[in-house]
Amino acid sequence: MADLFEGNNIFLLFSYIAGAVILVGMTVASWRAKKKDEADLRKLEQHIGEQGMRE
Amino acid sequence: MHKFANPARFMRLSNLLLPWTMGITLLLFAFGLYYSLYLAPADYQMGNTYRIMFIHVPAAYMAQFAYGVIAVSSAVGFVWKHPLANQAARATAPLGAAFTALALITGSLWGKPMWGTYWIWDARLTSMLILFFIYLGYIAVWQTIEDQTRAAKIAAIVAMVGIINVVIIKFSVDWWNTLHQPASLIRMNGPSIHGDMLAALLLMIAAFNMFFVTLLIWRIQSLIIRRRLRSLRLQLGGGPG
Repeated sequence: MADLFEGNNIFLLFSYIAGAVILVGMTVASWRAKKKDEADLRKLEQHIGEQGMRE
Repeated sequence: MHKFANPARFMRLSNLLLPWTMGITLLLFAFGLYYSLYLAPADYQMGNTYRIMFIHVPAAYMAQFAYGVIAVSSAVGFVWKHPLANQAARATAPLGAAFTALALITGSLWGKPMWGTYWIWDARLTSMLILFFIYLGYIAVWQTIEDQTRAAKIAAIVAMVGIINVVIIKFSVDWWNTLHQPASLIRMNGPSIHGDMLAALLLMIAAFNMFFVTLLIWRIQSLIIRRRLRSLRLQLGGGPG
């Protein structure tokens, strides 16, 4: 592990960390946005359904 | 092709495809990382530091590929007024911006040990930075213009004009004297790198591609749902929200 922080290996380590952070960040952001939109749509459709029943 | 570009049909088809694209992405990343960090030999001059290219090259390739997707989708949306084409272009932009950022970061981390500097105003590096700003501009158009039809039109023009920069990125290393090395993969006389390194690189490029496809499907689905939400809210009289 200590080798990773010696010489040029630190640049290699940071590159892979940057890659992991950005790719995971993209995944989480896209996944959460999709889940939120799906939940909003379900709620709205339920609301419209209930409104239709009352009328 | 046109019949698959129907939003409802897209949702059905993409839900069937998603488990496959996710599985293939994970497999390709597993093999790609195994090849990149273990099987590919160390470079005789650069040692292990050259392995940065297994992240940098796929990210830079995807940054340009994603822009190509935006430009083509925008042209289709602009000419045929197809809503799904505009949504595809819009969904691609944040992914392209993230890939460009990753290419710039890993490029800097490559530059310091190889060239002695994190940054230089070299033609390739500068044109990649411009690509990043074009992505931000494109995203800003969609975010700031409320009328979605008008936003789609302006964004499409930005995307189509911006493609010139992608051509500049590709040929910058040939047109100008740059610190950045010339193409070593796509060349007239074949790739100039060791077979195991090439295998690792191609696996990582394939992994990045499948990752992009998976995320793009999620993002287009999300935008289609938002359109439906907007139209339902309008029907209810509550405004677009």
